[in-house]
Amino acid sequence: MDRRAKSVIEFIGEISDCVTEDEVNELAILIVQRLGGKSFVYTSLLPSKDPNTDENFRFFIGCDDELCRVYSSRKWIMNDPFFEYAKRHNAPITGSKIKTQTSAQQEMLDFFSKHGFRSGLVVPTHTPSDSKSRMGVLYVGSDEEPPVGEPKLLGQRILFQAMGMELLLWWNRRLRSIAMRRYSVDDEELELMRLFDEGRSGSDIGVLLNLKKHQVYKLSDLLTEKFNVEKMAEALVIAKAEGLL
Amino acid sequence: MSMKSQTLKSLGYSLCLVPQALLIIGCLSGVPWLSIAFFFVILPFLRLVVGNDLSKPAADPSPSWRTYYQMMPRVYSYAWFGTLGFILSWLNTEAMGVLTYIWFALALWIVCSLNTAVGHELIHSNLASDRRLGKILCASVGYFHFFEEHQSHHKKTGHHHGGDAAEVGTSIYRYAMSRYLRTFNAGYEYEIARLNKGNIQRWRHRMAWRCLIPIGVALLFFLAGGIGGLTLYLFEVVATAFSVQAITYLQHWGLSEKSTPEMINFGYSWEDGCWMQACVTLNHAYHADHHLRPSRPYYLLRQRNGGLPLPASYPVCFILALFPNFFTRIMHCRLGKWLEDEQARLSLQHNTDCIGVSRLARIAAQKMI
Repeated sequence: MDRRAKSVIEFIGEISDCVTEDEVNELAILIVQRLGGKSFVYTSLLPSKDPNTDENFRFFIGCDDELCRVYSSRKWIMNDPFFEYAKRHNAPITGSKIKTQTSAQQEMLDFFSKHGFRSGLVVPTHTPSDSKSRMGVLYVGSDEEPPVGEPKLLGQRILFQAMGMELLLWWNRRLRSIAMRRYSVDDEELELMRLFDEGRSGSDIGVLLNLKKHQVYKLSDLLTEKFNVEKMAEALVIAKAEGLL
Repeated sequence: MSMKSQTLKSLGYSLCLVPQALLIIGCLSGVPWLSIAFFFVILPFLRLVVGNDLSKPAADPSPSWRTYYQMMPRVYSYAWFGTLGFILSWLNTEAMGVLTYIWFALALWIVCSLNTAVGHELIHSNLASDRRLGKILCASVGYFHFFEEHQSHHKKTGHHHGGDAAEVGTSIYRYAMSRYLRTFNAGYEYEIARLNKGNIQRWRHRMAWRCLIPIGVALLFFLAGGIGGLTLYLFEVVATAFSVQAITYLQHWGLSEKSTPEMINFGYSWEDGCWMQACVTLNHAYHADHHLRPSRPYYLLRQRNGGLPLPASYPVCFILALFPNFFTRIMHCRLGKWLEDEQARLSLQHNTDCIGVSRLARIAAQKMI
């Protein structure tokens, strides 16, 4: 099908079919432009993890390279007012309504407005409603003056929310599959771990998974070997931290 | 030289029938080694001339081209059933000397191995009739559990434990033996799980029923060629099973999330861009793209930019793999270069020298100086 004939909703639906970050990024740029934006940044993180570790963050970027370079070198992510808003709210909000609390935050917003985010829309994304789960924030911008540009972006908030959710779900799936490969576990093994985590006994699990009791314990031994730990409880801790359970 | 034409590539897919044709022509003309020469000599040398595949995949083909693409694996399969008939009648009527018998067995092995590549394409089809045909095609050469074992293959790509990535240093022989047994078991378990899940009776175990196909073919070989015919078929079954393991070994050697996380966007797979090979094997060597999108049909597959290319095409790598230490050194070096030098990735991908001609020429030139 010709890309020009597709609707924005169809493009948003295609995000889940993308297999690489580059493919998602390319599609996200297209969607943002179709919805009247010029630039976007999507950042996702695990709020429960140390914010100072870079590996916690995942990005999709469709904006000026200079902005990314300065944002990264000045470590603005540690003090990003959009993140502070997104951690506590679900509703999209225009950039001009975000109140800055420090001069560094104001400096950041000024810099953003010079690099494709004169008008902006902040779209928090959370799933599920659990403070420990990965969350994200989509920041969309345009070069129009805020009184003109922001209502336009806000008018598309439902589609931007849908896009933000798809981006978050994409990262969740991606990171889960990476963790599954890293520890060489499959869905059946994760199901077994989930049942152990619920406190079920080996014989209960055997009945539920149609396995003999000794097979359950054999699998449990294999899992501790894969997670390189002594006990199943330790493997469960790792699996939870990696978003596998 | 590079092959950019999409039409030429599309027509080139018909080259998949060449090994079968060469097997028959070879028998009739008294040179049964033709298909071996084609794979192990002509193909690597031709790559120097024909080059790599730079054509774009047929993203939105016309209905007639689409039919052509979809028909190609089916035509191959039906041609194979005809070839099988020819082989049986050949065995029945011709008395072969030992040498001719050996050449014939090796030539047939090439075709049987290619059957699994085409069968692989068919078992990934979204049409049940194609999947059935693929299963029969693979079963006719003894690899009757391909469909079931392949489910676990895709599920565990990039896994360190129980995956199909050979650990660095594992020889092809050890790998082939252990993978065959492991995947046979995985296939069996997969089918049992399906039966349990659907509350289906055990006698409907598809793998068990499908194993009757090679038994039937073996019987036909015995009837046609006596003990010699049966031995020939058993050799094909073992050799084809070895080929499947060997190709998997080449495609995933040393690549897992644990050892090479960089390969996530390349399906933890090695690939190869040889135009001729891509045509003959229906893009089987574009393995990274296949692993990223397993349901994508062969004519939409492409070599991924910056992907990890094998040092040579499959036939040459297969021969190299028979010498484990040498092979490990080459692959290790190749992987190291790919990981360390992002700039070098594209040049590695455009290599068309499977047999080290340029290296030999360089050495000769240095000696002359």
